[in-house]
Amino acid sequence: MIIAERKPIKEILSFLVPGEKILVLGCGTCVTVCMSGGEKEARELSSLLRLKGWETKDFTLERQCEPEFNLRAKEEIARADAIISLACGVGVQALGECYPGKKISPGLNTTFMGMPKEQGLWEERCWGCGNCIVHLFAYICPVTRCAKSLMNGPCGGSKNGKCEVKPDRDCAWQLIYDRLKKENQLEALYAIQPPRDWSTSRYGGQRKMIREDVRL
Amino acid sequence: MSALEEILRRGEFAVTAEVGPPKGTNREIIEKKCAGLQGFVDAVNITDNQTAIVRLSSFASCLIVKDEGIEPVMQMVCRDRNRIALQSDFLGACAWGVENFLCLTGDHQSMGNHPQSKNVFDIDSVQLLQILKNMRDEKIFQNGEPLKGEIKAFLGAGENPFADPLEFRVIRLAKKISAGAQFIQTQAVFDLEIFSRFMEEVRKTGLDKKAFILAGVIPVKSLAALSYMQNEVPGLVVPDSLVERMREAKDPKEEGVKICLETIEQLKKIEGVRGVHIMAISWESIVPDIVRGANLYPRPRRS
Amino acid sequence: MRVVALGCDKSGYPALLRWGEKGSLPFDEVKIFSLPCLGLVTEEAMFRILENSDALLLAGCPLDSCHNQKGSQGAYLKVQRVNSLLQEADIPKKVAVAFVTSGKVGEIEKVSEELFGRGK
Repeated sequence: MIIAERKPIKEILSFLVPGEKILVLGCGTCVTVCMSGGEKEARELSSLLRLKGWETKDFTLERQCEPEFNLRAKEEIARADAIISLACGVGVQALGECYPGKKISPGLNTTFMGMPKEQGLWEERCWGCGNCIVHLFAYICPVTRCAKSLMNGPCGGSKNGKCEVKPDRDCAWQLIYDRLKKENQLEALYAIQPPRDWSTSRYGGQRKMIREDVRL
Repeated sequence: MSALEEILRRGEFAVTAEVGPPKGTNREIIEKKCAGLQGFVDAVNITDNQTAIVRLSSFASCLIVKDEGIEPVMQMVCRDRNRIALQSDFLGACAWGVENFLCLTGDHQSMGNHPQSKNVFDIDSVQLLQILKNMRDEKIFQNGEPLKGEIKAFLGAGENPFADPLEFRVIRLAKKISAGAQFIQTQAVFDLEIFSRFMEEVRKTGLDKKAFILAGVIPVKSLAALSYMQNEVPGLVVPDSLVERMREAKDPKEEGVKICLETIEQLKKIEGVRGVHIMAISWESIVPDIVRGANLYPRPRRS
Repeated sequence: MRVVALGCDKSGYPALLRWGEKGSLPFDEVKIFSLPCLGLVTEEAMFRILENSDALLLAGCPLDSCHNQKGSQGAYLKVQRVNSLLQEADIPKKVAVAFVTSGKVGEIEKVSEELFGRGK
């Protein structure tokens, strides 16, 4: 899922003008699960802003990244002078597309695609490179989890299983090696991985997916 | 054929050193360092924005080194340039007569002085070796299109026998050699035990016959420098016994040189080690003493 | 200063009542309520209460002997989070939590003094 974290309160406050009627708009999908922009967080922020003197309301949509859902907040949005969207970057943009002319500010910073690792800890797992190869690397993506996206083994900075770039992060290649060794599959690493085709990645420009079979 | 390649092929024990370009345009700094190394080394590595700190470019520095009559080894890292720029610089360097290339992944930019920058890592060092080899031998670019002109390139790679996972290091070396590495310069050796074990594995797999392995050494000036390497530099292993020796030394510089010479002496005895790469970081002036002290002077002349 | 005090009916509420009975509290207004467990008080509820009061005081079982096991611990974490948000937003209000056994009011006095000192 998409992981996001709340912007510093001071930054959110800097988006607002005294006297504005504020709508804090939560999103019920990914950011609810990662506890940064769901109904609970929308209510908290709304209350916090009232404590700072604004007139606020909160409302949480099932998904802000889809126009159909966004339209369900039509009346609440019409009544507000400014919206703080607690959705990921996709949601904020979808909202902006649905409501031209409306002042909409992001309340979150979208950080990565990842998963909850333990209570209160989320980790990045996918870069969306458009060409999945995790099956070759014991389901540990070197593109995402190696700081240098190395395809042919660890760099010289791996120590005690940790990455030199961020010593609290595991070295992806140590994880790959350990798991393949345990499964007697080390030969999988002998082959030279050729240069990757990054054109499927973000480097090919904005991406689109078209499914003619389902288009109306 | 580069002098370095010729010397290695003749079976002579090679000596290379390292010169870090300045943080500015002052070419005299490189010239001075070269003058001090003249006659003491077979080639000089020019680092490519080492530790991700911006310096005069490796390519330009190599040309200055050549002007000074020393053979450069142009280091190329994958951090800052994609396959387009790396191939282009390779062609440029070949056109100017640079003949030795060392392909490295490159330190992460977060270690350097522009940690906010975006990195590239379009390809890794193994892939870079393969691309340069194909440009030289098959006369093709990475995309398969033909290129014109002669390429004389002696291709090298780094390898760190001390980084984790240790057991993977020989596999990685094998990959680099099969990708095109003809010579290898290793991370600095302080722990001879680990290094000997690594070389044993290398010999078992016959890799020492497929590439020339030059062992890295660093002459250390002070206890502080050695402790820093022991504690702060990932991928360097410094035994406590050496730190103790430096701690008790009356003259740390002299002791540092002594340790370096003893290390070289041991390295010479290890089968498969075909030379040393002296990384006297900001202490290039000590290199002649080390080369003399290790009985590696005078250097062989090319035929 | 207007204070709202919430206590769990196992330990916190009886202690709050005794504290209230002592009289001469240094607050303009103190409202005491009971609830089954501090674990029920959400962050949102804390903010809501602060919209109509200056400080919120929670009293519940000691961390290691909460009748609902993790109730007090959960309350403790939520109080910390709410306080850090208030601080980040420069809102001069505060939430405090006291862990007490039903008879003891000392801990509540200590915590309330702390609140009072910062409140006015």
